[in-house]
Amino acid sequence: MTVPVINWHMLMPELVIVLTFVIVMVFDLFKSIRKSILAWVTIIGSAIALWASVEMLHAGVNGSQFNGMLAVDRFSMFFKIIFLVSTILVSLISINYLDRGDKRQGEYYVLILLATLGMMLMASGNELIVVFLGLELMSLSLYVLAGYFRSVQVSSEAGMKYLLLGAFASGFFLYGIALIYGGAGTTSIPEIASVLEDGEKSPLMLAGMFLLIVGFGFKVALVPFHQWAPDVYEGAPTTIAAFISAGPKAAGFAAFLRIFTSALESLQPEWIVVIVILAALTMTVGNVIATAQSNIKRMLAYSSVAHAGYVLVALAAANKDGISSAMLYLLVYCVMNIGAFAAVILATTEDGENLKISDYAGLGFRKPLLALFLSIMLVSLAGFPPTAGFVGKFYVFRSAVDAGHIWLVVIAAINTAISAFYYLRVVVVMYMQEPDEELEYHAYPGLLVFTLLLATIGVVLIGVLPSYFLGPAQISTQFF
Amino acid sequence: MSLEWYLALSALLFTVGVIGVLIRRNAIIIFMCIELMLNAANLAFVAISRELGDPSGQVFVFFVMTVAAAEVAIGLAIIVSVFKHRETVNVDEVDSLKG
Repeated sequence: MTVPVINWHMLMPELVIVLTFVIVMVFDLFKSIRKSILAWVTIIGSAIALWASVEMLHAGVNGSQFNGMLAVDRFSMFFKIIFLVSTILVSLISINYLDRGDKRQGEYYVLILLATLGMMLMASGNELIVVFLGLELMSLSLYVLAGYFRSVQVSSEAGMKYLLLGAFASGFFLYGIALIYGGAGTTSIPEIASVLEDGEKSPLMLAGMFLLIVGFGFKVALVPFHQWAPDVYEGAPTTIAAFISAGPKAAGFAAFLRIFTSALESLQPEWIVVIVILAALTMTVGNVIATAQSNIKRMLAYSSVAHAGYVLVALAAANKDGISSAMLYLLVYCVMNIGAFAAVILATTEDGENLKISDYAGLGFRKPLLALFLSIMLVSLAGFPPTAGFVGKFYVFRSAVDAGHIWLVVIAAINTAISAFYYLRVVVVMYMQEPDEELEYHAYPGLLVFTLLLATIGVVLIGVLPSYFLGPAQISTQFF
Repeated sequence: MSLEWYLALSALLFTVGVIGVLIRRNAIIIFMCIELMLNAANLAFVAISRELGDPSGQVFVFFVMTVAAAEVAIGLAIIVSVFKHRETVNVDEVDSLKG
Protein backbone atom coordinates (compact mmCIF):
# COMPACT_ATOMS: atom_id res chain seq x y z
CA MET A 1 0.00 0.00 0.00
CA THR A 2 1.58 3.24 -1.13
CA VAL A 3 0.65 6.68 0.05
CA PRO A 4 -1.24 8.39 -2.78
CA VAL A 5 0.50 11.33 -4.38
CA ILE A 6 -1.83 14.30 -4.12
CA ASN A 7 -1.61 16.99 -6.74
CA TRP A 8 -3.07 19.91 -4.80
CA HIS A 9 -3.25 21.98 -7.94
CA MET A 10 -5.94 19.71 -9.39
CA LEU A 11 -8.09 20.16 -6.30
CA MET A 12 -8.05 23.97 -6.49
CA PRO A 13 -11.82 24.60 -6.76
CA GLU A 14 -12.62 22.33 -3.80
CA LEU A 15 -9.77 23.70 -1.69
CA VAL A 16 -10.83 27.30 -2.30
CA ILE A 17 -14.39 26.47 -1.24
CA VAL A 18 -13.17 24.74 1.94
CA LEU A 19 -10.95 27.71 2.77
CA THR A 20 -13.81 30.16 2.16
CA PHE A 21 -16.06 28.11 4.40
CA VAL A 22 -13.52 28.22 7.22
CA ILE A 23 -13.05 31.99 6.81
CA VAL A 24 -16.81 32.62 6.87
CA MET A 25 -17.16 30.50 10.00
CA VAL A 26 -14.38 32.37 11.81
CA PHE A 27 -15.62 35.80 10.70
CA ASP A 28 -19.06 34.95 12.00
CA LEU A 29 -17.62 34.76 15.52
CA PHE A 30 -16.74 38.46 15.55
CA LYS A 31 -19.75 40.52 16.54
CA SER A 32 -18.20 43.70 15.15
CA ILE A 33 -18.11 42.46 11.53
CA ARG A 34 -21.08 43.44 9.43
CA LYS A 35 -23.00 40.37 8.38
CA SER A 36 -23.08 41.30 4.71
CA ILE A 37 -19.27 40.89 4.73
CA LEU A 38 -19.90 37.14 5.12
CA ALA A 39 -21.90 37.13 1.91
CA TRP A 40 -19.14 38.98 0.09
CA VAL A 41 -16.50 36.54 1.35
CA THR A 42 -18.71 33.70 0.06
CA ILE A 43 -19.12 35.40 -3.31
CA ILE A 44 -15.41 36.20 -3.69
CA GLY A 45 -14.38 32.67 -2.67
CA SER A 46 -16.85 31.13 -5.11
CA ALA A 47 -15.67 33.50 -7.84
CA ILE A 48 -12.04 32.41 -7.30
CA ALA A 49 -13.11 28.75 -7.43
CA LEU A 50 -15.12 29.53 -10.56
CA TRP A 51 -12.09 31.13 -12.18
CA ALA A 52 -9.96 28.09 -11.28
CA SER A 53 -12.57 25.74 -12.76
CA VAL A 54 -12.80 27.76 -15.99
CA GLU A 55 -9.00 27.75 -16.29
CA MET A 56 -8.85 24.00 -15.72
CA LEU A 57 -11.63 23.40 -18.26
CA HIS A 58 -9.70 25.44 -20.82
CA ALA A 59 -6.45 23.67 -20.02
CA GLY A 60 -8.23 20.38 -20.61
CA VAL A 61 -7.42 18.62 -17.34
CA ASN A 62 -7.91 14.91 -17.41
CA GLY A 63 -6.76 12.95 -14.42
CA SER A 64 -7.80 11.56 -11.12
CA GLN A 65 -6.88 11.97 -7.48
CA PHE A 66 -6.86 9.82 -4.34
CA ASN A 67 -6.23 6.48 -6.07
CA GLY A 68 -8.81 7.20 -8.75
CA MET A 69 -11.61 8.02 -6.35
CA LEU A 70 -12.01 11.58 -7.60
CA ALA A 71 -12.07 12.24 -11.34
CA VAL A 72 -10.66 15.64 -12.25
CA ASP A 73 -11.84 15.94 -15.83
CA ARG A 74 -13.58 18.47 -18.07
CA PHE A 75 -16.96 16.89 -17.37
CA SER A 76 -16.68 17.62 -13.65
CA MET A 77 -15.23 21.09 -14.34
CA PHE A 78 -18.20 22.02 -16.52
CA PHE A 79 -20.57 21.03 -13.71
CA LYS A 80 -18.46 22.85 -11.12
CA ILE A 81 -18.90 25.98 -13.20
CA ILE A 82 -22.69 25.47 -13.11
CA PHE A 83 -22.66 24.98 -9.30
CA LEU A 84 -20.42 27.96 -8.63
CA VAL A 85 -22.45 30.26 -10.89
CA SER A 86 -25.57 29.16 -8.96
CA THR A 87 -23.87 29.73 -5.62
CA ILE A 88 -22.72 33.23 -6.60
CA LEU A 89 -26.16 34.23 -7.91
CA VAL A 90 -27.93 32.83 -4.84
CA SER A 91 -25.51 34.57 -2.45
CA LEU A 92 -26.10 37.85 -4.28
CA ILE A 93 -29.89 37.62 -3.93
CA SER A 94 -29.57 36.49 -0.29
CA ILE A 95 -27.95 39.69 1.03
CA ASN A 96 -31.07 41.87 0.87
CA TYR A 97 -33.43 39.00 1.56
CA LEU A 98 -31.79 38.13 4.88
CA ASP A 99 -31.31 41.77 5.90
CA ARG A 100 -35.05 42.33 5.62
CA GLY A 101 -35.89 39.75 8.24
CA ASP A 102 -32.83 40.48 10.39
CA LYS A 103 -32.01 36.80 10.45
CA ARG A 104 -28.85 35.01 11.61
CA GLN A 105 -26.55 34.90 8.64
CA GLY A 106 -23.29 33.14 9.44
CA GLU A 107 -24.58 29.58 9.28
CA TYR A 108 -26.55 30.40 6.17
CA TYR A 109 -23.48 31.04 4.04
CA VAL A 110 -21.51 28.23 5.69
CA LEU A 111 -24.26 25.78 4.76
CA ILE A 112 -24.48 27.11 1.20
CA LEU A 113 -20.72 26.60 0.82
CA LEU A 114 -20.90 23.08 2.28
CA ALA A 115 -23.75 22.19 -0.07
CA THR A 116 -21.67 23.50 -2.97
CA LEU A 117 -18.73 21.36 -1.85
CA GLY A 118 -21.02 18.33 -1.72
CA MET A 119 -22.20 19.02 -5.27
CA MET A 120 -18.61 19.33 -6.48
CA LEU A 121 -17.78 15.95 -4.94
CA MET A 122 -20.81 14.43 -6.64
CA ALA A 123 -19.73 15.71 -10.04
CA SER A 124 -16.15 14.50 -9.48
CA GLY A 125 -16.93 11.25 -7.70
CA ASN A 126 -15.46 8.33 -9.60
CA GLU A 127 -16.43 5.90 -6.91
CA LEU A 128 -20.02 5.26 -5.81
CA ILE A 129 -19.19 5.82 -2.14
CA VAL A 130 -17.67 9.25 -2.91
CA VAL A 131 -20.83 10.13 -4.84
CA PHE A 132 -22.89 9.02 -1.83
CA LEU A 133 -20.83 11.12 0.60
CA GLY A 134 -21.10 14.16 -1.69
CA LEU A 135 -24.83 13.62 -2.00
CA GLU A 136 -25.24 13.44 1.78
CA LEU A 137 -23.07 16.51 2.42
CA MET A 138 -25.22 18.43 -0.04
CA SER A 139 -28.54 17.06 1.22
CA LEU A 140 -27.85 17.52 4.94
CA SER A 141 -26.90 21.16 4.35
CA LEU A 142 -30.03 21.69 2.28
CA TYR A 143 -32.36 20.15 4.90
CA VAL A 144 -31.16 22.74 7.39
CA LEU A 145 -31.36 25.56 4.85
CA ALA A 146 -34.94 24.63 3.88
CA GLY A 147 -35.95 24.92 7.54
CA TYR A 148 -33.72 27.93 8.13
CA PHE A 149 -36.44 30.37 9.26
CA ARG A 150 -37.17 28.44 12.43
CA SER A 151 -39.72 30.98 13.63
CA VAL A 152 -41.74 30.57 10.44
CA GLN A 153 -44.02 27.56 10.62
CA VAL A 154 -43.98 26.69 6.91
CA SER A 155 -40.19 26.84 6.77
CA SER A 156 -39.76 24.22 9.52
CA GLU A 157 -42.40 22.12 7.85
CA ALA A 158 -40.59 22.34 4.51
CA GLY A 159 -37.38 21.29 6.28
CA MET A 160 -39.07 18.24 7.82
CA LYS A 161 -40.68 17.11 4.55
CA TYR A 162 -37.43 17.53 2.67
CA LEU A 163 -35.55 15.65 5.40
CA LEU A 164 -37.90 12.66 5.58
CA LEU A 165 -38.19 12.15 1.83
CA GLY A 166 -34.55 13.00 1.15
CA ALA A 167 -33.28 10.53 3.77
CA PHE A 168 -35.72 7.91 2.43
CA ALA A 169 -34.21 8.44 -1.05
CA SER A 170 -30.67 8.17 0.36
CA GLY A 171 -31.63 4.77 1.78
CA PHE A 172 -32.59 3.53 -1.70
CA PHE A 173 -29.45 5.03 -3.19
CA LEU A 174 -27.19 3.38 -0.62
CA TYR A 175 -28.87 -0.01 -0.96
CA GLY A 176 -28.43 0.28 -4.71
CA ILE A 177 -24.71 0.87 -4.18
CA ALA A 178 -24.51 -2.15 -1.86
CA LEU A 179 -26.15 -4.41 -4.47
CA ILE A 180 -23.90 -3.12 -7.26
CA TYR A 181 -20.92 -3.80 -4.98
CA GLY A 182 -22.23 -7.33 -4.61
CA GLY A 183 -22.76 -7.76 -8.34
CA ALA A 184 -19.55 -6.21 -9.60
CA GLY A 185 -17.23 -6.71 -6.62
CA THR A 186 -16.15 -3.08 -6.75
CA THR A 187 -17.63 0.41 -6.42
CA SER A 188 -15.19 2.18 -8.70
CA ILE A 189 -17.03 3.48 -11.77
CA PRO A 190 -14.42 2.50 -14.42
CA GLU A 191 -13.99 -0.95 -12.85
CA ILE A 192 -17.75 -1.57 -12.81
CA ALA A 193 -17.80 -0.66 -16.50
CA SER A 194 -15.05 -3.18 -17.29
CA VAL A 195 -16.69 -5.93 -15.20
CA LEU A 196 -19.96 -5.37 -17.08
CA GLU A 197 -18.24 -5.39 -20.46
CA ASP A 198 -17.12 -8.94 -19.79
CA GLY A 199 -20.76 -9.89 -20.02
CA GLU A 200 -21.78 -10.37 -16.41
CA LYS A 201 -25.31 -9.12 -15.88
CA SER A 202 -26.15 -10.52 -12.49
CA PRO A 203 -29.62 -9.89 -11.06
CA LEU A 204 -27.90 -8.03 -8.21
CA MET A 205 -26.57 -5.47 -10.70
CA LEU A 206 -29.99 -4.95 -12.24
CA ALA A 207 -31.71 -4.56 -8.88
CA GLY A 208 -29.00 -2.14 -7.78
CA MET A 209 -29.42 -0.12 -10.96
CA PHE A 210 -33.17 0.28 -10.43
CA LEU A 211 -32.62 1.33 -6.80
CA LEU A 212 -30.15 3.96 -8.01
CA ILE A 213 -32.78 5.28 -10.44
CA VAL A 214 -35.26 5.57 -7.56
CA GLY A 215 -32.67 7.37 -5.40
CA PHE A 216 -31.75 9.82 -8.14
CA GLY A 217 -35.41 10.19 -9.06
CA PHE A 218 -36.15 11.56 -5.58
CA LYS A 219 -33.13 13.83 -5.56
CA VAL A 220 -33.80 15.48 -8.92
CA ALA A 221 -37.61 15.31 -8.45
CA LEU A 222 -38.77 13.03 -11.25
CA VAL A 223 -42.41 11.96 -11.39
CA PRO A 224 -43.54 9.83 -9.49
CA PHE A 225 -40.90 10.80 -6.89
CA HIS A 226 -41.58 14.56 -7.03
CA GLN A 227 -44.15 15.09 -4.27
CA TRP A 228 -41.70 16.83 -1.94
CA ALA A 229 -40.68 19.49 -4.46
CA PRO A 230 -43.70 21.86 -4.46
CA ASP A 231 -44.05 21.77 -0.66
CA VAL A 232 -40.36 22.40 -0.05
CA TYR A 233 -40.12 25.20 -2.64
CA GLU A 234 -43.17 26.92 -1.20
CA GLY A 235 -42.16 26.67 2.44
CA ALA A 236 -38.40 27.20 2.19
CA PRO A 237 -36.96 30.73 2.11
CA THR A 238 -37.28 31.93 -1.51
CA THR A 239 -33.50 32.22 -1.96
CA ILE A 240 -33.12 28.61 -0.85
CA ALA A 241 -35.93 27.50 -3.15
CA ALA A 242 -33.91 29.06 -5.98
CA PHE A 243 -30.79 27.27 -4.74
CA ILE A 244 -32.47 23.86 -4.37
CA SER A 245 -34.02 24.13 -7.82
CA ALA A 246 -30.67 24.90 -9.48
CA GLY A 247 -27.39 23.47 -8.19
CA PRO A 248 -28.54 20.27 -6.46
CA LYS A 249 -30.60 19.29 -9.48
CA ALA A 250 -27.57 19.79 -11.72
CA ALA A 251 -25.44 17.81 -9.24
CA GLY A 252 -27.93 14.95 -9.21
CA PHE A 253 -27.83 14.84 -12.99
CA ALA A 254 -24.02 15.07 -13.03
CA ALA A 255 -23.75 11.87 -10.99
CA PHE A 256 -26.68 10.32 -12.87
CA LEU A 257 -24.97 10.97 -16.23
CA ARG A 258 -21.57 9.73 -15.10
CA ILE A 259 -22.85 6.53 -13.48
CA PHE A 260 -25.34 5.56 -16.15
CA THR A 261 -23.40 6.44 -19.28
CA SER A 262 -20.05 5.27 -17.94
CA ALA A 263 -20.36 2.55 -15.29
CA LEU A 264 -23.67 1.06 -16.42
CA GLU A 265 -23.21 1.64 -20.14
CA SER A 266 -23.51 -2.07 -20.91
CA LEU A 267 -26.92 -2.18 -19.21
CA GLN A 268 -28.22 0.50 -21.57
CA PRO A 269 -30.96 -1.72 -23.12
CA GLU A 270 -32.37 -2.25 -19.61
CA TRP A 271 -32.28 1.33 -18.30
CA ILE A 272 -33.16 3.26 -21.43
CA VAL A 273 -36.78 2.06 -21.37
CA VAL A 274 -37.18 3.22 -17.78
CA ILE A 275 -35.62 6.60 -18.57
CA VAL A 276 -37.90 7.15 -21.58
CA ILE A 277 -41.02 6.38 -19.51
CA LEU A 278 -39.85 8.56 -16.62
CA ALA A 279 -39.04 11.42 -19.02
CA ALA A 280 -42.50 11.34 -20.63
CA LEU A 281 -44.24 11.12 -17.22
CA THR A 282 -42.11 13.84 -15.63
CA MET A 283 -42.64 16.36 -18.41
CA THR A 284 -46.36 15.73 -18.74
CA VAL A 285 -47.30 15.60 -15.06
CA GLY A 286 -45.05 18.56 -14.16
CA ASN A 287 -46.44 20.82 -16.87
CA VAL A 288 -50.10 19.84 -16.50
CA ILE A 289 -50.11 20.40 -12.73
CA ALA A 290 -48.20 23.67 -13.12
CA THR A 291 -51.05 25.11 -15.19
CA ALA A 292 -53.38 24.71 -12.21
CA GLN A 293 -51.20 26.58 -9.67
CA SER A 294 -52.11 29.97 -8.25
CA ASN A 295 -48.98 30.41 -6.10
CA ILE A 296 -45.97 31.46 -8.16
CA LYS A 297 -43.45 29.49 -6.08
CA ARG A 298 -45.50 26.31 -6.53
CA MET A 299 -45.80 27.03 -10.22
CA LEU A 300 -42.03 27.38 -10.50
CA ALA A 301 -41.66 24.15 -8.48
CA TYR A 302 -43.78 22.13 -10.91
CA SER A 303 -42.04 23.83 -13.81
CA SER A 304 -38.68 22.73 -12.41
CA VAL A 305 -40.04 19.16 -12.21
CA ALA A 306 -40.94 19.45 -15.89
CA HIS A 307 -37.48 20.79 -16.75
CA ALA A 308 -35.90 17.70 -15.15
CA GLY A 309 -38.00 15.75 -17.66
CA TYR A 310 -36.41 17.62 -20.57
CA VAL A 311 -32.95 16.77 -19.25
CA LEU A 312 -34.02 13.10 -19.10
CA VAL A 313 -34.94 13.31 -22.79
CA ALA A 314 -31.30 14.15 -23.46
CA LEU A 315 -30.18 11.29 -21.18
CA ALA A 316 -32.43 8.90 -23.12
CA ALA A 317 -30.39 9.72 -26.23
CA ALA A 318 -27.47 8.18 -24.30
CA ASN A 319 -24.73 9.36 -26.64
CA LYS A 320 -22.18 12.16 -26.55
CA ASP A 321 -24.57 14.63 -28.17
CA GLY A 322 -27.19 13.79 -25.58
CA ILE A 323 -24.79 14.28 -22.68
CA SER A 324 -23.44 17.60 -23.96
CA SER A 325 -26.94 18.93 -24.65
CA ALA A 326 -28.03 17.88 -21.15
CA MET A 327 -25.05 19.78 -19.71
CA LEU A 328 -25.86 22.91 -21.70
CA TYR A 329 -29.52 22.61 -20.71
CA LEU A 330 -28.64 22.40 -17.01
CA LEU A 331 -26.44 25.51 -17.28
CA VAL A 332 -29.23 27.43 -19.03
CA TYR A 333 -31.84 26.15 -16.61
CA CYS A 334 -29.86 27.16 -13.50
CA VAL A 335 -29.34 30.73 -14.73
CA MET A 336 -32.93 31.33 -15.81
CA ASN A 337 -34.53 29.65 -12.83
CA ILE A 338 -32.48 31.60 -10.29
CA GLY A 339 -33.35 34.72 -12.30
CA ALA A 340 -37.05 33.92 -12.05
CA PHE A 341 -36.83 33.38 -8.27
CA ALA A 342 -34.84 36.63 -7.91
CA ALA A 343 -37.69 38.46 -9.67
CA VAL A 344 -40.16 36.81 -7.27
CA ILE A 345 -38.12 38.12 -4.30
CA LEU A 346 -38.04 41.57 -5.87
CA ALA A 347 -41.83 41.54 -6.23
CA THR A 348 -42.47 41.11 -2.49
CA THR A 349 -44.41 43.84 -0.72
CA GLU A 350 -43.81 45.68 2.53
CA ASP A 351 -46.35 43.58 4.40
CA GLY A 352 -44.76 40.25 3.59
CA GLU A 353 -44.48 38.10 0.51
CA ASN A 354 -47.10 38.32 -2.18
CA LEU A 355 -46.89 35.10 -4.07
CA LYS A 356 -50.29 34.74 -5.70
CA ILE A 357 -50.12 35.08 -9.46
CA SER A 358 -53.17 37.39 -9.25
CA ASP A 359 -51.09 39.76 -7.09
CA TYR A 360 -48.90 40.41 -10.12
CA ALA A 361 -51.71 42.24 -11.92
CA GLY A 362 -50.62 45.63 -13.19
CA LEU A 363 -46.98 45.06 -12.27
CA GLY A 364 -46.02 45.94 -15.82
CA PHE A 365 -46.99 49.58 -15.23
CA ARG A 366 -46.04 50.04 -11.61
CA LYS A 367 -42.73 48.17 -11.68
CA PRO A 368 -41.76 48.20 -15.36
CA LEU A 369 -38.14 47.11 -14.83
CA LEU A 370 -39.10 44.17 -12.61
CA ALA A 371 -41.86 43.08 -14.99
CA LEU A 372 -39.42 43.21 -17.89
CA PHE A 373 -36.85 41.03 -16.10
CA LEU A 374 -39.50 38.52 -14.99
CA SER A 375 -40.93 38.39 -18.52
CA ILE A 376 -37.51 37.64 -20.03
CA MET A 377 -36.95 34.81 -17.54
CA LEU A 378 -40.42 33.33 -18.15
CA VAL A 379 -40.07 33.58 -21.93
CA SER A 380 -36.74 31.80 -21.63
CA LEU A 381 -38.23 29.10 -19.37
CA ALA A 382 -40.96 28.62 -21.97
CA GLY A 383 -38.25 28.19 -24.61
CA PHE A 384 -38.78 31.01 -27.10
CA PRO A 385 -35.97 32.30 -29.31
CA PRO A 386 -33.68 34.27 -28.99
CA THR A 387 -33.33 33.26 -25.34
CA ALA A 388 -31.16 30.54 -23.82
CA GLY A 389 -34.20 28.38 -23.07
CA PHE A 390 -34.80 27.92 -26.78
CA VAL A 391 -31.19 26.95 -27.48
CA GLY A 392 -31.17 24.45 -24.60
CA LYS A 393 -34.38 22.76 -25.75
CA PHE A 394 -33.27 22.78 -29.39
CA TYR A 395 -30.09 20.81 -28.73
CA VAL A 396 -31.84 18.39 -26.36
CA PHE A 397 -34.58 17.63 -28.89
CA ARG A 398 -32.12 17.31 -31.74
CA SER A 399 -29.95 14.80 -29.88
CA ALA A 400 -33.05 12.74 -29.01
CA VAL A 401 -34.28 12.76 -32.62
CA ASP A 402 -30.84 11.68 -33.83
CA ALA A 403 -30.95 8.80 -31.36
CA GLY A 404 -34.33 7.72 -32.75
CA HIS A 405 -36.66 8.78 -29.92
CA ILE A 406 -39.13 10.54 -32.23
CA TRP A 407 -42.16 9.90 -30.01
CA LEU A 408 -40.44 11.19 -26.93
CA VAL A 409 -39.59 14.42 -28.75
CA VAL A 410 -43.20 14.77 -29.92
CA ILE A 411 -44.35 14.48 -26.30
CA ALA A 412 -41.67 17.00 -25.26
CA ALA A 413 -42.81 19.45 -27.95
CA ILE A 414 -46.44 19.18 -26.84
CA ASN A 415 -45.27 19.82 -23.30
CA THR A 416 -43.38 22.91 -24.37
CA ALA A 417 -46.66 24.24 -25.77
CA ILE A 418 -48.45 23.49 -22.48
CA SER A 419 -45.69 25.21 -20.52
CA ALA A 420 -45.94 28.32 -22.71
CA PHE A 421 -49.53 28.65 -21.50
CA TYR A 422 -48.71 29.04 -17.81
CA TYR A 423 -45.51 31.03 -18.22
CA LEU A 424 -47.16 33.53 -20.55
CA ARG A 425 -50.21 33.73 -18.32
CA VAL A 426 -48.06 35.47 -15.73
CA VAL A 427 -46.82 37.91 -18.38
CA VAL A 428 -50.41 38.59 -19.47
CA VAL A 429 -51.48 39.18 -15.87
CA MET A 430 -48.60 41.63 -15.37
CA TYR A 431 -49.25 43.72 -18.46
CA MET A 432 -52.94 43.42 -19.22
CA GLN A 433 -54.82 43.21 -15.94
CA GLU A 434 -55.71 46.00 -13.56
CA PRO A 435 -54.76 45.44 -9.90
CA ASP A 436 -57.57 45.03 -7.36
CA GLU A 437 -55.80 46.95 -4.62
CA GLU A 438 -52.76 49.16 -4.27
CA LEU A 439 -49.78 47.28 -2.84
CA GLU A 440 -46.77 48.87 -1.20
CA TYR A 441 -43.63 47.51 -2.86
CA HIS A 442 -40.08 47.60 -1.60
CA ALA A 443 -37.77 49.98 -3.35
CA TYR A 444 -35.50 48.24 -5.85
CA PRO A 445 -32.51 46.89 -3.91
CA GLY A 446 -29.51 47.54 -6.14
CA LEU A 447 -27.97 44.12 -5.66
CA LEU A 448 -31.10 42.26 -6.65
CA VAL A 449 -31.39 44.31 -9.82
CA PHE A 450 -27.70 43.65 -10.48
CA THR A 451 -28.25 39.89 -10.08
CA LEU A 452 -31.23 39.97 -12.41
CA LEU A 453 -29.17 41.92 -14.89
CA LEU A 454 -26.44 39.26 -14.73
CA ALA A 455 -29.00 36.49 -15.22
CA THR A 456 -30.60 38.36 -18.13
CA ILE A 457 -27.23 38.92 -19.80
CA GLY A 458 -26.48 35.22 -19.33
CA VAL A 459 -29.82 34.14 -20.78
CA VAL A 460 -29.48 36.40 -23.84
CA LEU A 461 -25.79 35.63 -24.35
CA ILE A 462 -26.33 31.86 -24.36
CA GLY A 463 -29.34 32.40 -26.60
CA VAL A 464 -27.39 34.41 -29.16
CA LEU A 465 -24.00 32.69 -29.01
CA PRO A 466 -24.77 29.08 -28.05
CA SER A 467 -21.62 27.63 -29.61
CA TYR A 468 -19.39 29.33 -27.02
CA PHE A 469 -21.13 27.30 -24.33
CA LEU A 470 -21.97 24.12 -26.22
CA GLY A 471 -18.35 23.72 -27.40
CA PRO A 472 -16.91 23.25 -23.91
CA ALA A 473 -19.79 20.89 -23.09
CA GLN A 474 -19.04 18.79 -26.17
CA ILE A 475 -15.35 18.40 -25.42
CA SER A 476 -16.28 17.58 -21.82
CA THR A 477 -17.95 14.31 -22.73
CA GLN A 478 -14.68 12.47 -23.31
CA PHE A 479 -14.75 10.66 -20.00
CA PHE A 480 -15.58 7.21 -21.33
CA MET B 1 -23.42 -19.83 5.83
CA SER B 2 -23.53 -18.64 2.27
CA LEU B 3 -23.88 -15.06 1.08
CA GLU B 4 -27.50 -15.57 0.01
CA TRP B 5 -28.72 -15.88 3.59
CA TYR B 6 -27.15 -12.61 4.62
CA LEU B 7 -28.49 -10.83 1.55
CA ALA B 8 -31.95 -12.24 2.19
CA LEU B 9 -31.87 -10.94 5.77
CA SER B 10 -30.65 -7.57 4.59
CA ALA B 11 -33.39 -7.38 1.92
CA LEU B 12 -35.93 -8.28 4.60
CA LEU B 13 -34.68 -5.50 6.90
CA PHE B 14 -34.72 -3.05 4.01
CA THR B 15 -38.30 -3.98 3.13
CA VAL B 16 -39.41 -3.62 6.75
CA GLY B 17 -37.84 -0.15 6.73
CA VAL B 18 -39.56 0.89 3.49
CA ILE B 19 -42.94 -0.38 4.63
CA GLY B 20 -42.48 1.40 7.95
CA VAL B 21 -41.78 4.70 6.21
CA LEU B 22 -44.85 4.28 4.06
CA ILE B 23 -47.39 3.26 6.70
CA ARG B 24 -46.27 4.90 9.96
CA ARG B 25 -47.29 8.52 10.55
CA ASN B 26 -45.06 9.58 13.44
CA ALA B 27 -42.05 11.49 12.11
CA ILE B 28 -39.68 9.92 14.62
CA ILE B 29 -40.79 6.36 13.79
CA ILE B 30 -40.41 7.17 10.08
CA PHE B 31 -36.92 8.36 10.86
CA MET B 32 -36.11 5.13 12.71
CA CYS B 33 -37.34 3.14 9.71
CA ILE B 34 -34.98 5.12 7.47
CA GLU B 35 -32.12 4.18 9.82
CA LEU B 36 -33.21 0.56 9.42
CA MET B 37 -32.87 0.91 5.64
CA LEU B 38 -29.34 2.30 6.02
CA ASN B 39 -28.39 -0.53 8.36
CA ALA B 40 -29.77 -3.09 5.93
CA ALA B 41 -27.35 -1.67 3.39
CA ASN B 42 -24.55 -1.91 5.98
CA LEU B 43 -25.31 -5.59 6.55
CA ALA B 44 -25.16 -6.20 2.79
CA PHE B 45 -21.84 -4.35 2.58
CA VAL B 46 -20.26 -6.38 5.37
CA ALA B 47 -21.53 -9.72 4.06
CA ILE B 48 -20.39 -9.03 0.51
CA SER B 49 -17.06 -7.71 1.73
CA ARG B 50 -16.40 -10.95 3.62
CA GLU B 51 -17.48 -13.06 0.66
CA LEU B 52 -15.14 -11.19 -1.70
CA GLY B 53 -12.31 -10.98 0.82
CA ASP B 54 -12.17 -7.27 0.06
CA PRO B 55 -11.93 -5.04 3.14
CA SER B 56 -13.16 -1.88 1.39
CA GLY B 57 -16.78 -2.90 1.93
CA GLN B 58 -16.23 -2.81 5.68
CA VAL B 59 -14.69 0.65 5.44
CA PHE B 60 -17.81 1.88 3.62
CA VAL B 61 -19.84 0.84 6.63
CA PHE B 62 -17.92 3.31 8.77
CA PHE B 63 -18.68 6.07 6.32
CA VAL B 64 -22.34 5.16 6.28
CA MET B 65 -22.48 5.08 10.08
CA THR B 66 -20.95 8.55 10.20
CA VAL B 67 -23.45 9.87 7.68
CA ALA B 68 -26.32 8.26 9.57
CA ALA B 69 -25.19 9.89 12.82
CA ALA B 70 -25.06 13.32 11.17
CA GLU B 71 -28.46 12.71 9.65
CA VAL B 72 -29.94 11.85 13.05
CA ALA B 73 -28.50 15.01 14.61
CA ILE B 74 -29.95 17.24 11.90
CA GLY B 75 -33.17 15.29 11.57
CA LEU B 76 -34.06 15.39 15.26
CA ALA B 77 -33.27 19.13 15.38
CA ILE B 78 -35.65 19.80 12.49
CA ILE B 79 -38.36 17.57 14.00
CA VAL B 80 -38.01 19.43 17.32
CA SER B 81 -38.40 22.78 15.56
CA VAL B 82 -41.61 21.53 13.92
CA PHE B 83 -42.85 20.25 17.29
CA LYS B 84 -42.33 23.71 18.83
CA HIS B 85 -44.80 25.16 16.32
CA ARG B 86 -47.44 22.49 16.22
CA GLU B 87 -47.12 20.33 19.35
CA THR B 88 -47.26 17.23 17.14
CA VAL B 89 -44.93 15.22 14.93
CA ASN B 90 -47.69 13.35 13.13
CA VAL B 91 -46.95 13.93 9.45
CA ASP B 92 -50.64 13.92 8.53
CA GLU B 93 -51.34 16.83 10.86
CA VAL B 94 -48.35 18.85 9.62
CA ASP B 95 -50.12 19.97 6.49
CA SER B 96 -50.01 23.74 6.06
CA LEU B 97 -48.24 23.25 2.72
CA LYS B 98 -50.35 21.64 0.05
CA GLY B 99 -52.04 22.32 -3.25
